Amino acid sequence: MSGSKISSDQVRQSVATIFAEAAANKRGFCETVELQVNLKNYDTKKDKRFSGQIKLSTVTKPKFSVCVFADQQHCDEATKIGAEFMDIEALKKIGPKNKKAIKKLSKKYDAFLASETILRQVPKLLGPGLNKVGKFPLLLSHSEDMATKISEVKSTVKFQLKKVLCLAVAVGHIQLTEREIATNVIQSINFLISLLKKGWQNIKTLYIKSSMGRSFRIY
Amino acid sequence: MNFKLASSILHTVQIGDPDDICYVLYFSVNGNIVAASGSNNLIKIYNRKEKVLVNILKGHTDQIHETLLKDKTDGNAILLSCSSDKTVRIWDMYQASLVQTIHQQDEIFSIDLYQNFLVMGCSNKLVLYDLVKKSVIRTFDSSHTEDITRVRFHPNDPTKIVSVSMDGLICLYDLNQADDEEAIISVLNGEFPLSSFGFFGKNSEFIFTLSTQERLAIWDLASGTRLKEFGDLRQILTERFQKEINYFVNVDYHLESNNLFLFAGDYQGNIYIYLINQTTWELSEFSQLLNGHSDIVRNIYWDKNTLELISSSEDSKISFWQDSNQPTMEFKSSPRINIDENNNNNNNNSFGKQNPKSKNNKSNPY
Repeated sequence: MSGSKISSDQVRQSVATIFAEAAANKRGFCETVELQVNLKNYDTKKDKRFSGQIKLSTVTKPKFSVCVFADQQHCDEATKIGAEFMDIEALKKIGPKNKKAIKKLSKKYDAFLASETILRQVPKLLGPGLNKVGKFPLLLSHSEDMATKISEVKSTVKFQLKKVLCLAVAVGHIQLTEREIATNVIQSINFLISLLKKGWQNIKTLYIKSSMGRSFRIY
Repeated sequence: MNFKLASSILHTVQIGDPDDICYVLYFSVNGNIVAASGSNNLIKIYNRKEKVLVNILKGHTDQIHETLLKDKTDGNAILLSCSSDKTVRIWDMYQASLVQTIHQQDEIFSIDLYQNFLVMGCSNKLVLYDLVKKSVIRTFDSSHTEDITRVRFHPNDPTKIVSVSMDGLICLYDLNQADDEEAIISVLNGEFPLSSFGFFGKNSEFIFTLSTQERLAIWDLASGTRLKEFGDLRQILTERFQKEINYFVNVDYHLESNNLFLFAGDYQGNIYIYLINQTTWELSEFSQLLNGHSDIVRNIYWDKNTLELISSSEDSKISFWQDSNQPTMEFKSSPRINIDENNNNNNNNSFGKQNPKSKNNKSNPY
């Protein structure tokens, strides 16, 4: 694979400026830092789709709420780590026909995890309510550590290319360190490059910016 | 097996005509023809033996995603094609003409056919259509939130349909259930956006899924469990076998020997075939297709009777491969997948060895 065309120093410099400017213009919320990618030599009509998600090294969505549909063992684990959970009785109480309650549940949390035995029953227990909002639960197996899995869910960012040749990836927020953001940026770029057949030849420009701040070109 | 390139077709007819240079996006095969759709929205029909162009089907006005060849008893065949132009078109192969067009409200990314029942993935909706009555039978719009990328009737039980989507979900529908929501009897979360899937196993009881992010997973349909997620498989294979793997084309299953194969490739057009051990999930090198293409290979078809292999690529070529070693598939049979006893208790989704041609259903699921 060809070497990276941008250096992490370059990225950190831009991130440092973003942080400085964000600190100077403090907003009422924690600003997201975004990587914007403009593509070239890619035809959405014939080239393979490559939308997906990246698991980054640091949590990018601190306020992201996760609820676990937990079997007995997971209920205990959730209680121990202070994670929100619902057991099968609680789910049965809602019932698949109770649209209002299911909608409320789906709005309350950003994502759901479920123990294997419960996961299979979700269509029967709740109908397609969670499908409809794109929040169908992810599997939480007993061989995984719950806290780690929740953290992973919070560190996973989506990137989607629609009809125009640009996509944005949320790589962190201004309360992370410069180093963490720079690492996330480089990880994201390298991952995207691996899905593009022309690699760096598919990248026209790269920018990073905070929600309210200005863009900084890094490639 | 040792595959060598036997011949190839250049899908571009007019060399130098910029409008005709195109990717070969998808193709369908029967005993006589290869029907290939190009990124210029044309479907070209080739004589499979002579490798010559016999017809061009013009009509689609946007990207063609899948085609399906159905042989008829009189030796003729019909070809179905679906497109982003929101139509499914049906073409007669003898006449090389359009015989039916089905219009939908959304782009259609995948289709499958059982008798005269057509199932379509239209954006995020699953639509079941009767080709004879020319009407929609059912629509499922609450299973997925993003484009359905592949939809198939279960090979052993056509009252069951499976769909996968960019939203990462795998949905299983039971057409015997009258209520559209209750008909979604199983939902598996593939986590990553899914680009395709296929059935395998003696009774097609398992499925593999492939993601736009080049991830492979194996699932047991009856219990709804994920048997294996291969992780960053491109990286694993690259390191293990010292050949750079950039993407996966397909997974193919050979029923008689119960062998499962993964077709992987690099951006230069080389294809590597791996055998997947269904007990340990280890991959071993099986064969390779070299010097046949110079760009991403989008489709591979392996004829299990003749053992001929056909591949199509973004380099505008369709290549035909023959095994230079032996004419029969004589490799060891694979043992059956062992599913944990515990997983079989909680679910009743069974796909008996039902005869798909049975017309004895008292309640017509369609």
